[in-house]
Amino acid sequence: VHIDGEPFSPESVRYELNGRERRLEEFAELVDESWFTTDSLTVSGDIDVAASGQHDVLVNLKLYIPYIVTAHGVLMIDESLETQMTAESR
Amino acid sequence: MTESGRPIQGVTLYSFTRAFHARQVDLEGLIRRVAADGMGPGLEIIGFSSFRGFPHLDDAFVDWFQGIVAETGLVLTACAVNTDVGIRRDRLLTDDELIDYMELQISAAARLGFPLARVQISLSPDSMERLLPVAERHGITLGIEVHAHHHPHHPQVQALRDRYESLGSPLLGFVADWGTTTSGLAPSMVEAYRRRGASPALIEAAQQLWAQYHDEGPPPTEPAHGARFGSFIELAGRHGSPELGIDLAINATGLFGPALVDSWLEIMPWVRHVHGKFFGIDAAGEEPSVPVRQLIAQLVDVGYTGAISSEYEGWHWNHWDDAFGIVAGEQALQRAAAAEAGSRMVLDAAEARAQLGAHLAGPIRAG
Repeated sequence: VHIDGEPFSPESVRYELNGRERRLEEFAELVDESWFTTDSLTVSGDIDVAASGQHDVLVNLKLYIPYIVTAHGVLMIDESLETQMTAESR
Repeated sequence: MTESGRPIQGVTLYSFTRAFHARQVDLEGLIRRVAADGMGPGLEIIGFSSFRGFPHLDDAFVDWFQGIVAETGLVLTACAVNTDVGIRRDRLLTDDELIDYMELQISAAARLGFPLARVQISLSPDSMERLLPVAERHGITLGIEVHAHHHPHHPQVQALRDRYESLGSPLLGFVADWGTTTSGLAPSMVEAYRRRGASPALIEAAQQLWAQYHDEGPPPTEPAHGARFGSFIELAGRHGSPELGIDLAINATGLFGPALVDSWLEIMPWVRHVHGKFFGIDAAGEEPSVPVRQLIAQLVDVGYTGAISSEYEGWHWNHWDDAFGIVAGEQALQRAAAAEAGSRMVLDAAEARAQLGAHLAGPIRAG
């Protein structure tokens, strides 16, 4: 995830799913739990951008399709979306 | 002479993925909509996609689900379960792990009341043989989906068919996906690529390359499939749209199979369920890239009495049309095709329930 081209500080970024926060690396080992199709994943962490106003938010997802194994390994789909979002102060 | 087939009309909720993911409608809303709009009586659902926590379901959820199905009068036809052999990042699952992984899902599908579990082609003949006692224990049929880029003459499908023949159980078969036998790339997909910046030259070249592969026939081996996959990536790069390459390759080889409709006859006795895969309906009410009339006529001709799940997959790229109306259009086409072939689709739930039970219990009559 990038906001206005800035990444989160690697030490601080956490991903919350199924009621628990994890670091990105922890997801790779997680095989007994699913990300349900209609659940949101919440990303949090420190980032050096203005707390208000419009921001360009870029999300990149690398999705492995575990039932399709090709000659080059498990099929991976790399998808990105960039959109403008307005920050809400809390 | 074989008695004319009467396929059971139905739908898979996968057709409505875009609305479901957008949270415009939930599982209960989808089931009620299918019943209210007459898109059943057959109902197919993908376990992981639609049931939160699948395959670990509590009794209260199972009761709730069966209550909704009973109330709406729909007939459960198939639960799609996943053969996630590549779920670990470090290695593939071992055979033992995969069997355990499958049994959990198969037993969940049976608990929910589904008579058939759709499984996937990474299961070997040996694994299917090991899963037969699981199917017997849970009283459920297992159908390996034959989906592009695979096809009835592919060595993996032939090996499965040979094993099925020697095991002789009515509980092992295939799910035939119509995307295996298409006649061209979908106009809506072409339009989506155009909107994403594909040049007219790229679009024309992709259609020509697909037509060439259609003329040559489906890929006989995995390396042949890999070469075709690579050729679409290369084509997109050569025409200035490298970012579309993998997407085009996945769709052109994995959604639009070039096998001939007649090739289904190779495995027809083992076809226990059908995915009526399609991508759109044109202004004349026809499917421009899937020969629906020919496919229905074939099922009528061979005496098929199982279910067809209309499976709309144009939603991947078509974000401008309503999936419910498109499915209704395809089912009207199926009904017209069945009438044209001298038969009809089964729409009545009680008739569908009795017929599906007999279809799945009956022995496989090969050749």
